[in-house]
Formats: sequence, C-alpha cells, structure tokens
Amino acid sequence: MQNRDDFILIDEFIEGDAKAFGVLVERYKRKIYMTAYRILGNHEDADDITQEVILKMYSSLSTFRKESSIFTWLYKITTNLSLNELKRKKIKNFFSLDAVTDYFADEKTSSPESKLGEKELSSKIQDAINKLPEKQRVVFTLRFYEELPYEEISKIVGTSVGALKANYFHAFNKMVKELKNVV
Amino acid sequence: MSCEKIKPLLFDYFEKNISEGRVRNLKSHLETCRFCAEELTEFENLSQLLKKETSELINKHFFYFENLRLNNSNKLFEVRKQMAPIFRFAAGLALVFYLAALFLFTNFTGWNIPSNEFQTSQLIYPNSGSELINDNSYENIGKLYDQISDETIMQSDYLNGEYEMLMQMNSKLIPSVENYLGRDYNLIGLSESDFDQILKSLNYKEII
Repeated sequence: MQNRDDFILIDEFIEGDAKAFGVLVERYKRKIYMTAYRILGNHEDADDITQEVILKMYSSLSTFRKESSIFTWLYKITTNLSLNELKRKKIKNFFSLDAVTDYFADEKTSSPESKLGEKELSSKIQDAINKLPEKQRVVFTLRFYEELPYEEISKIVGTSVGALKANYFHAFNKMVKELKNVV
Repeated sequence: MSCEKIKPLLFDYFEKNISEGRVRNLKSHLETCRFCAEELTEFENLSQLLKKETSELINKHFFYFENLRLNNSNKLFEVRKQMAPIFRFAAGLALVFYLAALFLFTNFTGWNIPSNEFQTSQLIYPNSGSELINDNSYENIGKLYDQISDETIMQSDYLNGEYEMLMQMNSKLIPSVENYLGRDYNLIGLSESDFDQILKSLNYKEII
C-alpha cells in the first residue's frame, strides 16, 4: 500500500507537482537521517548526508525505475553516501596530526569509571556503534534500528543473506560486550 | 539439549527466526540452564536499552534536523542544477585520465591486474599479506554461509550441530570470516586439509 502511494507521488512529481516531492521527503527524511546518524556517528555529518540524499532524490527521481520500493532505493543511497563519507574521513584523519593527539587522549581516559561518569547514554551507545567495522555498522543499523528483513538489506548492500546474518550476529555480540557496564 | 547445541540457536530465537520445534526445545532448556538464560537476557536488555535510547534521541535531537526546510534547499537545488553540467564534464574528464593511466600502467610496466577468479588459497593462505581480497571472494564466502543451513550443521558430525562452533571452532577460520566481514585483520593460515575437511563435513561441494 505504501509502495503504491509512493509510486503515485513519484508520478505526480514527474508531472510537475513539487508538493508530491515534499510529501515523499516528509515521509522518509527521519529514516534517512537516523540511518546516516548511526553510520556516521554525529548529527552534523548526518545532516549533510541527509541533504545530499534529498538532492539526489530530487535529481534522480524521474529516472527511478520502480523495480524496488523507494525506501530500498533511499537506504541504498544513504548507506553509500555515508560509507563514502566515512572513507573520506579516514583518509583525512590518516594525514591529520589531530588523529595522533586524539589517539593519546583516548588512552588517558580509558578507565571505566571516568567513562561512566562523563558520557551520556547515547554517546556511549554511539561510541560502541562507531567501534564496529563499517560493514557491521551498516548491517546493524539497517537490521536493528530500521528493522529491515535480511532480504531487503541484501538488496541494499549487495551481500548475501547468510553473510548478513553472520555480520549482524557478530555486531550484536560486540555491542553486548561494549555496553556490558551500561546494560 | 545441551548448551553447545542451544547456544547457536539463541540468537535466532532472540530474532524470532526459528522453527516452532526448536522453540519448544529451547524454552525447556532455558528453564533449567542459568547460563543460556543469562545470555538471552543480555540480548534482550541490550535491545531494550537501544530502543529506549533511540526514542530519547529522536525527541532530543530531531528538532535540529527539522530546521532543514525544503524552501532553503530549493536554492541549493537551483545552484546544483546549474553546476551539474560542469560536474559531469569534470567527472568524465577524470574518468578518461584514469582509464588512460590504467592502460599505460598495465601495458608498459608489466604489472598485471589480479584475476577476479576466486582461489581458495587467496583467501586463506596469506603470502606476504599483499593479495587483493576482491569482491568475488567476499561473495563466495557469503555463499558458503548461505549453504550452511541449520539442518546441515545439525547433521554434521564434525561440527556437532553447532552453528557457533563454525564461528569459533577454528580460530584460524574466524580471521578469514572476519576479514570478509570487514575487519582489518591479519589472516592466520589454515591448512588445505583442514579446510577441505570442513567443506566435506558441511557437504559443501564447491566454493565458486
């Protein structure tokens, strides 16, 4: 039902109805934003990526082939742009002296007591997610937070269902270990 | 059922991705086994914690996102529309240069691009650590997982019906798996006979 409504809105947008686009954005912007936030770990980057996704949506919606649902398409764009941003940051940090000072700063504040005292819950959780490798982070976000079935995630990330299950299992176990003191 | 047989099913049970028959066995085990029950509780507690945090996060931070207004973005759309042809031209030019460089490099330096054909040894026998683990390798190890249905594992004498044991049974397998899963991990070598034995016991005929 949702799919059909989305396709009707896409057709209306292609015919020139800008409000239809606004409806689609309202419908999906939160999911896009939260997915990007979970992958990237901060709101500023998530905001940038969300805008990128919406722009991409605007420019490419007329060529959307309706072979999948629009949210699969949007998740794919969001995931790809978020991962690209992560890679870009990695390269940037590699060449940045800030990465060296941050490394030593983390070493000094490694005691559990200081962490529990200082950070909010959501920071701790996001830190745990940030420690996951990229693939696991994406799968964890899409499976746990977005509650997508494995088959859908498989279309988004292009990985087999079996591998996704393994990814998710590992990611979840790591999260349990990381947040043992908090849970 | 013993803990060794139950443990691999716990996560599937937590995900509600398990057959009715197994649910009954699992529940009766959990009534008597504190350790397994605790592990399941850890999964559930984490899930509740993350869900609670998500709803608080949305309430607290989403207004930040609500400041994104379509009318402001429209201006950005216009700028982007005007710049699009320039971006496309630049991207096309970059692609041409890249292809030219690749052609020159491969034809005049004697370096060959590694074949995409999957080779077992490429994944599990790291030479100097310089092999490219390509996308086909990842796809194939994913196929291995797909082949490992619960039934296959349960029937496998070697694995003793333990899905988790696949993950843990051989510490040498995990790095291969984890490398596939995206961790930066040094592969530990696995002997050819070990791997063949694993495949045989899984009734897995081929990797490719």
